[in-house]
Amino acid sequence: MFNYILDLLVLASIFAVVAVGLNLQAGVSGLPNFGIVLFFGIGAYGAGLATKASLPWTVGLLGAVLVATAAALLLGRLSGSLPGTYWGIATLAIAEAVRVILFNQDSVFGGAQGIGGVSLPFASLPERTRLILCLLVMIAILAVCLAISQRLIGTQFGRALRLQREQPELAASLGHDLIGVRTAILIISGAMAAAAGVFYAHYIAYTGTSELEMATTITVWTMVVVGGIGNSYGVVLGALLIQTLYSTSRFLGEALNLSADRTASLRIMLIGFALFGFLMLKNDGLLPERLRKIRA
Amino acid sequence: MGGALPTVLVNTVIAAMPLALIAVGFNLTYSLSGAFNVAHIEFATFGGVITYWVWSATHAPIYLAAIVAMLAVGGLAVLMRRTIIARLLKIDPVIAMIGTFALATTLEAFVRFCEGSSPRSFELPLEIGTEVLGVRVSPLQIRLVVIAAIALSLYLVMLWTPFGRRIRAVASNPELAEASGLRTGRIADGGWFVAGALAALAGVIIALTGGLDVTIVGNYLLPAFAAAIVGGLTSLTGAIGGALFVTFVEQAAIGFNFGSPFGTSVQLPVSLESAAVFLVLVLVLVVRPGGLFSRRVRSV
Repeated sequence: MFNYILDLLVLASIFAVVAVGLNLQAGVSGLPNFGIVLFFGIGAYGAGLATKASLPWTVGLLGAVLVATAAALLLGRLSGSLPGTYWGIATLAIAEAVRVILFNQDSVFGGAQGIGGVSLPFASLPERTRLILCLLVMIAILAVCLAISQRLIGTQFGRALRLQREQPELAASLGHDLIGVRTAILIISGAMAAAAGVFYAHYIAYTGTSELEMATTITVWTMVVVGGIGNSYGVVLGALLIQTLYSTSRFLGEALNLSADRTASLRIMLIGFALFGFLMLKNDGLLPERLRKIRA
Repeated sequence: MGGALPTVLVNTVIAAMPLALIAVGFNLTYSLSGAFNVAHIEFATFGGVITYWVWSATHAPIYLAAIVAMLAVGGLAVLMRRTIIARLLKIDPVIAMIGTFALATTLEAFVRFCEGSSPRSFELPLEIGTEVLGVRVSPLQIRLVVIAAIALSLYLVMLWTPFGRRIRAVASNPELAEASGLRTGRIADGGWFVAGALAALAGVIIALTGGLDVTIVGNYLLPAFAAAIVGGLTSLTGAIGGALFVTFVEQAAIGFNFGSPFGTSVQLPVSLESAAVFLVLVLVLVVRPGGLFSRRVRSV
């Protein structure tokens, strides 16, 4: 039971890092990225490919951050020509396309089987110590990401981000490089999500396309919306609550005597309902963004 | 597997039909409400599933079951717009889009929960295929292409009726349409009904040709997005061209013999089919973000 809670907390902090990254894009900068899973997947496949090539995990992390930067440059460029929600659809389509390509590509990316045998961190230690160490590492990463996120929000750069979110024309006329500012935040937050992906692949010792489905994106979005879009601490709270809901709902399936297939569907439905309820009833989340005085 | 251009063209027409039926509705609802409905693809899923439910429960002819499904899904689309999307749109278009995302996930999970992932079949009688330009096609496929083409033509004709003119008015300038005394809510409902019914028909076509399989409709998600974007999101008709273009690229990537001009055989691996669509999508987004057929390029 204790191990189960540790596992839940590790997963919650992994997805909290992704959610903090998504919040920097969608909440702070007004970039509704519906393909955030792309960055996470780049990280996971970075770890997987490094394993396959028998390279150390640091190479996987470095490669993942580089590829994530390239993806951020493309998405940043697109944000100049595609208005708001249109950009969101484009990110969704690109992430889905990458998933389909990875799913069909056997020789390098392992296709539908994925890449197994990604090295476990602290594998030689007993299970409980291993989980505690994983959790500590992940909390440290989360703390760094949170600190970066909070620092950014308070700087001139953060103000430029919020200004271009609310008043893009004004921001441009004040001399802010809109595409440059957006690309910068996409690189920073993309690197966070990619780092989370690297750790995730090592933690579950596997890289595959099943985590790259839309369901993962919607889970991260739910964490952001439930916690409070625009508020980094709220987002971490949201990640903890939603991961708890997701992890414990497995027992609901067991209690109702459902097949594995149906349990999986039921768990996704629960996440959907949570997101839905918050959108309809309390769309600024549990801890709303405080800085924001003007409602868009 | 043929390598000639006519083969690719025949395959394109067959495969593009359901895609066009889905993509046209994507753009219709986007134009009418300014929110991209991610759950639109689920209308196709529901079209196939409801047809199967009606057919297996009553043993009515399949075309009757399909009509029931189209009406039901059209109604579902209207209900969704009224109760959820219109409400969320008042808050923010991005919030509305997250809402449709949540709807898509929940509806898909619901269908999977009810139906499971194992495919079902409509147990259609086997028919002798005919050869069209070197491609073996079953009479069923020909009938479905004709039905889809009729539905798309009716949609185009509809856009030029008084009702269609109102739809175009609301799509191009909702405030002005409202101020001119048009009942924009009713008109948007009509548009959503049409979009839902067309997607349901696509779902029936997919289910009749490939068997009812919830996961198959998921495979149409990316091409449908690509067709809608390539055709231009704000264009009410461009998606048909977008669907044909995307399918042609897909079919050409897998079916065309790139070595034929040089007298050799060079075929791309099947895994590159989706990569080709991806490349087209990104190219269009970077070079012509308003879609292939747009005259003006939109900016911030």
